[in-house]
Amino acid sequence: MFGLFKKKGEVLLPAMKGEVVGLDQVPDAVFSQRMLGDGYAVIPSEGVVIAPVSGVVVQIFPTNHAFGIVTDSGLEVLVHIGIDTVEMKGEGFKRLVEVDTKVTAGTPIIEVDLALVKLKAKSAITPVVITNKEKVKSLKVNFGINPSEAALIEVNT
Amino acid sequence: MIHVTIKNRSGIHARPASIFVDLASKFAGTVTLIKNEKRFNGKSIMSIMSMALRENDTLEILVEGEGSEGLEDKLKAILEAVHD
Repeated sequence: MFGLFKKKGEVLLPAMKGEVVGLDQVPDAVFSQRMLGDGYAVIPSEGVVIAPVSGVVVQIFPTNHAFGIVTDSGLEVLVHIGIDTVEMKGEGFKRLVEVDTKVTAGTPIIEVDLALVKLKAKSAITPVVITNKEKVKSLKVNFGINPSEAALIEVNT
Repeated sequence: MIHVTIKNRSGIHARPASIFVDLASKFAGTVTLIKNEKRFNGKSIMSIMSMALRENDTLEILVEGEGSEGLEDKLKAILEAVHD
């Protein structure tokens, strides 16, 4: 069944170890109301952030708290580490790859000091969203602790 | 074409980019952001984020198509607003 799905679908890995939850759990309307797009969020237990999909890293914010990957099928995937972490101005965030790097799903992209995020930011919850909404036909989230796949996406062609 | 200077202290991140794209996407024509002669799609959040706009950066907004009256001013106001 999964093989059939894979042909026109994409899999999002959990961007971090921890509990995968719905975007409605994110304490920021930009994400919880899906203004940026649909996806999932992870309540992290470890500070390594990986590429949830294979593709090209098109953007890493100067403050290293968010990055974007574009897949071969054209999905734009945004990973935003924590909420209101832009205010931390990069403190506690370290990039492990550079912009324009082609990465495979699972490649570590950012290392984050979770204790510092919990201390200084609103939340460490990390939303992962598809920012080009028109590409997403359907999206199913696998809730729970450390699922092997966080979300399955059917892509509009 | 209209000239814009970013005033938000932390630049154009997720929130202002999403507000910008929401308005731009309601318009049938094209919205282009131009920085250092590079052109970016004003209807794509990722494209705008990839510009990595910071405080005091300058750029141009170009709106093309029917019914565009006043849109450049509204889009400029979003980018020049202080969001955080």
